[in-house]
Amino acid sequence: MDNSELFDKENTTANAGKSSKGKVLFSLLIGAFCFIIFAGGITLFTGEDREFSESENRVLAPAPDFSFYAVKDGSFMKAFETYFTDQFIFRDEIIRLKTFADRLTGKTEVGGVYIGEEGYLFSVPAPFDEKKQEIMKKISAFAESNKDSKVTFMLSPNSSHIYKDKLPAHLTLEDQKAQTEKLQKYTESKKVNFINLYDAFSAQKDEIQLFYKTDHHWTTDAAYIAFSELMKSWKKSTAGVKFNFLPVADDFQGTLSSKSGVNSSGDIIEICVPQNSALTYVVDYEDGEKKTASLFDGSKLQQKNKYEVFAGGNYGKITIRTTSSEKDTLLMVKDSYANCMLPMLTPFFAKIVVIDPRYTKEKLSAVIEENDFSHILFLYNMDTFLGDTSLEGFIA
Amino acid sequence: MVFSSATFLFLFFPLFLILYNLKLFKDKNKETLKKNTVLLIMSLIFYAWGEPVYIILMLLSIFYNYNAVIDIDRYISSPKKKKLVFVCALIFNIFMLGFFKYYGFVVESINGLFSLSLPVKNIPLPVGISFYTFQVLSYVIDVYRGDVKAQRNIIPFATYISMFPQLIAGPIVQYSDVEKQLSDRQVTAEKFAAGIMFFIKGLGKKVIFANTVGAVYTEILGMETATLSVVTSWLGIICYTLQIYFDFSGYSDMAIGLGKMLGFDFLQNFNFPYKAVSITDFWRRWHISLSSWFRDYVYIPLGGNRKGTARTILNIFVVWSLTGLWHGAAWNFIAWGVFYGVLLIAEKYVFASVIEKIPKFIRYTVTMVIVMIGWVFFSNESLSAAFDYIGSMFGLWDNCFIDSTAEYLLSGNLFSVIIMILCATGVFAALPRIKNFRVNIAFMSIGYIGIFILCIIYLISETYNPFLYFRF
Repeated sequence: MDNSELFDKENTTANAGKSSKGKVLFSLLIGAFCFIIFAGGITLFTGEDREFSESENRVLAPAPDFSFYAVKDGSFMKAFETYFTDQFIFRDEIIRLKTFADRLTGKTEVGGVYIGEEGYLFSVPAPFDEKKQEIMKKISAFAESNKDSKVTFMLSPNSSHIYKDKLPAHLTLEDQKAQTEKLQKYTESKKVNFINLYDAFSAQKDEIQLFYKTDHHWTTDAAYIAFSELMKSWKKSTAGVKFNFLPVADDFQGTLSSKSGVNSSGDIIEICVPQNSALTYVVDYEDGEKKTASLFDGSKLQQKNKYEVFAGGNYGKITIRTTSSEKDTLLMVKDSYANCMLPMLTPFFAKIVVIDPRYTKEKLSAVIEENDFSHILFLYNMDTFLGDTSLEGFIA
Repeated sequence: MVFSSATFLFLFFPLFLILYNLKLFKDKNKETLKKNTVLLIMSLIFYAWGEPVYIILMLLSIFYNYNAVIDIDRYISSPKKKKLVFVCALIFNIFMLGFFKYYGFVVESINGLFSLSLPVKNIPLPVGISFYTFQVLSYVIDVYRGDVKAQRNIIPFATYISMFPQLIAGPIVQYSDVEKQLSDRQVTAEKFAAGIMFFIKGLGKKVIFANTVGAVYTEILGMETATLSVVTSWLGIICYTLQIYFDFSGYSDMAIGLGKMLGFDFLQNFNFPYKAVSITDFWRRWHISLSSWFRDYVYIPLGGNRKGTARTILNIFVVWSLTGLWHGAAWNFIAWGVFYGVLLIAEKYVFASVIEKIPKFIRYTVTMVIVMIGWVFFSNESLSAAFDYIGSMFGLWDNCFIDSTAEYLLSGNLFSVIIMILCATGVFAALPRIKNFRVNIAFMSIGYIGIFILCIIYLISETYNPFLYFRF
């Protein structure tokens, strides 16, 4: 862009006035301008409307219905503007060009996503909230009153903390290790086994990719490290079970990629399958809404958000009944990080009830009343734990 | 509708251009009448697109003032009747603006002063009412004074009031400036091309520049003011300073450009205000059409500077309180206006002899710092928030000079901010031109089209709205 020409007032008008050569000289400008505005409008009516945007992962606005009332309250006009820009010709290409232009000017934050080095994208972390000490106290009180169950609280740091050396230059974020330790201090009861994954992750972050580059989730490898920590603390041996890691996708462009419009080479998704021929299980979603014999949903690999291959996405309540010879039962209160860990747990429990408080209205007290659990696990990533308040409602 | 929307650029405006330029009559007057009619109808659609109900208010204003002015003209031989109609028209217009713009503010202020609790109704502000009411007033006053003739035909009059280029955000076009053009105007290829350049320049200022720095300032305002580092708070206010200039002057440029494409010549509204070397100089360069309006219709009728020092100072205060109030119905805007009133009086009476001796560079720096402090008041709705912010700028809250937030913000925005400062202060515009006229035009054409495409890229991607399973 040549700004010297853009912001010159006198020159354009004065010269334009002086010229008598007229149309020929200005035909390039006038022609191109008119072509662009006419073409932009006409293509709205000639092309067929797109229903779904793959890159934005959403249904695009359809043409609005015309009615007197919709015009009177202005909703028709608003809907029309949305419809027009949603259906605008070359929309996807235009958005990609914008991201490119942003990065040219030195921007390292696009759409709430930090663009880091080596293709890493990071979500902007949620700020620490002192109110969260209430929830740690509540969990402590809960553990004290349920002496028969082992209560474990596990918090995963986020990519922006573990891979902070790959953040954009000059960017420093709040220290999640200190935040985690603070939360641990608020946990008054010794009955709560607080597992801080920071050290385990830091030790292996260079050998193993612990987080997706284009998505805010941890990888199956990271989930396996967390799983091993859990097994250690529960004193369960994994010796009899072999865990097979199988890649199922190598072109995963996750939510951070969607949010920022930055496409990198794509992540590999692996699934972890415990090999134990005798073991089978039945998965019951939302109390009978759907039943499957697998914790993987291969159909989700055809869509943009391939992380949903794990447990089919986010459900409020999942109940897993296994043929395991173990007597133990597990209640897992979690966010979406847990989804890829679920299969690893199946050989070690007869029954696992998985609750995601963001999608259910159930209360902890009711779930506890219905079942006896030998183990209760709270598994969250720092960002969701700090940014979401549904856990408070679930425990209250 | 706003100019920086896809609907305007790609549907409304192309359709308008076809209808406007479709030659129906050989007779020049008939053709102008057709053009005015097309412009009027399309302007009403343009306004109704954003304000489907308040358009009634604008039509009311048009009908009332059209008739009032014809009455003023008719009673030319009986001054009393003429004056009565005139005063009624003034009251009508000021009441209409006052009610829709200041009702809530007045009630709240009365409640605050006398600790009452009169019910406050929130009336949404009709778009453009501040601009078209001022245009109408200029016309009514000019006819009353005998400076211009009353317009007998309602179509050119209604066209003048509702014309879409300047309807929503100015410039405030005085009737006397366009009187002739309403009945006789030419569009040549040169003028149309110049109009395109003005329009693209304005669109670029708004979409590429103003929105970009605006986002930075919004981000900084969202942080805890007292802990902002000195550098962050200065970066924030520099961004706002750039945003408000590019936003406002961009809109004026678009209006001037569209006007040219229609055959009108509107006066310049901004003349590199961030090149000013004194506050007086700044206000000669900033929003010129508003300053001229207040000068012509308030300051001079009050006696200007012809009635002694005390009266001049009072007049300046009246004008600047009103200027502040015109910008918005809140105390921070009045404070901002009075702030400038005081500074202008100080420049006129206290520092007048000193200023000339100070080196230009220092005068420039001081002026810009004052202007930026002015914008702090302008952009913060409460006075205490404004003072908090100014405290951070000068390190009064024990805040550090520079922190990692500042470094990060600088690393992402410094480049674009510097480019924008160079544009806003006219450094780029002062660069030497290509001497060959044809080559220059060819280069400019390509440059402007490039900027236009860039504008469209920014405009469309603003609506980028991915659906995420991020939290829910």
